[in-house]
Amino acid sequence: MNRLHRFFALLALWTLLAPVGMLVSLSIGSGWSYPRLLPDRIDLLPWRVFFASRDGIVTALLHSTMMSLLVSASSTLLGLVAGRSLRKHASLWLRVIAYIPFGVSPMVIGTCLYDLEVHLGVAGRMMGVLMAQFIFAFGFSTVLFCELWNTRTDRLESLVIELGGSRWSIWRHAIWPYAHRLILVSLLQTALYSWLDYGLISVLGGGNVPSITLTLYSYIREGSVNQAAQSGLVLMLPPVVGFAVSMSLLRPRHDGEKTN
Amino acid sequence: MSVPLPTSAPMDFVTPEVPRSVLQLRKIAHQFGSKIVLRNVSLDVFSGETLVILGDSGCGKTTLLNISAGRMEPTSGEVLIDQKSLASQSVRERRIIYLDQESLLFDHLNVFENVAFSLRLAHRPRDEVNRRVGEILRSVELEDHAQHSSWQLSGGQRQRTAFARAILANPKVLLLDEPFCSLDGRSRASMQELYIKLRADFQMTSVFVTHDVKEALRVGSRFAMMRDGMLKTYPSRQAFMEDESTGVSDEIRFWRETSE
Repeated sequence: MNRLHRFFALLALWTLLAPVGMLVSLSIGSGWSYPRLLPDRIDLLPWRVFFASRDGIVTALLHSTMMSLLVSASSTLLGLVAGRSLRKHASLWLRVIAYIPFGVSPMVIGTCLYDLEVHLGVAGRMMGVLMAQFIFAFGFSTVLFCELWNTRTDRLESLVIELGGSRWSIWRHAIWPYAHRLILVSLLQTALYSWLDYGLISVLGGGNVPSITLTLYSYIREGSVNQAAQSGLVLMLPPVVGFAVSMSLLRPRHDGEKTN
Repeated sequence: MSVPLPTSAPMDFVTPEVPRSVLQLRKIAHQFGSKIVLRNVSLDVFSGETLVILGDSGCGKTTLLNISAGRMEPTSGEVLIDQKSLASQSVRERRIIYLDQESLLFDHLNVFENVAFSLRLAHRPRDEVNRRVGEILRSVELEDHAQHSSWQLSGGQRQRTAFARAILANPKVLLLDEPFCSLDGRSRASMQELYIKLRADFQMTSVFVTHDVKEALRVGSRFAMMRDGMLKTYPSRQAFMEDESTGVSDEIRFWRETSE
């Protein structure tokens, strides 16, 4: 059983790491043509070329980073507030609305929003993409934070006030200790959602809003293996970091035993 | 032979000390939808006493405590604290602390900091905080656990911590909603003893809700019985014990028959 367990663990690890290894070797190798097993040259030159190129990769990176930060900050902040009011004044239809983004494809929502965005004059602009991404990220944050506002937080808030606390004390002692993990998870997840988004950017951005996902697909379409691998690695980096951070945040805090 | 009173000195009239009513409920009625939970409840809680309210589950005891704490608005009636309407005072001015069976501690703080919470909020000097917290921790027999995290404590220790924290906040009234009902028999008896000691040491005024007749008799200095949303107060312990509806006589009969 132990051996079988180890075998499957190694298989899973291989399945995860093999494509990454392939991408890394594609990104640093040049002159690699069939039927050679290894590329002619392995060095960091392709990466230097990648960042120095005039294809707009740096612009795409900056755009993607900025959109991720804006979407995650705004949706987390407003999701925290909306989750609280949804929990306090729970009505069924409001909850249903919060879940809609999970049930509909981004492309469908993007297409539905397109006319509205044309009317508002934001179609084909970063604002239009941000609006659409916000709808999904905000729904996610709201649903996530609904669980935070429960009777325990209500009671802790009352307790802090009864003991002479201010609004700041409520935030510091009754909310933040229980919310900070969820807040960080929400920030990470919504940032990743925006970072990895392709559908909404391609539909609503109309090719005018550069992003790392669009760049990756354009390299794939034109058969630029080096650049496609490099874009893929750049695209993968935040999810890997995010995954590691999420794992450390979600690890149980206490492993001690009770004393009596 | 009677001794004539000196005429030169004025006579001292010593008026008996009238107990001061700290908490007053005036014709409190409450209903959830069409269900009437409290019917015209009036009550005075006097300084230094423990008023025990005995009653079965669902009879409205917790609702009455919630209204007394200002956590719920009654459908009609008025709550006064120190002769002033509860509604006209801020939560901090009211100085009412509510403790229930789930001793609510701040998990991110250790026992010392939990107990010192109200003193820290009031920006008391460090020496005073150390002295007073040290004293109260000795009183509740937790001096060896001062640096422990709340999750390292047993149910009884958690309850002691919550008690110590409440006492240091110097409340006008302590509202106790079946505070020991989740503890095992031994811890419960020890907490009852501790409660009696603390009440005497700190002159606590409290309303103690329980459904346990023995606990009521042990900790109470005055008694009331709640049934179907109506409250009946007793002029003496004897009157409470003699009333068949309180269940005290059943309890006495049971133990007599069991011991025979």
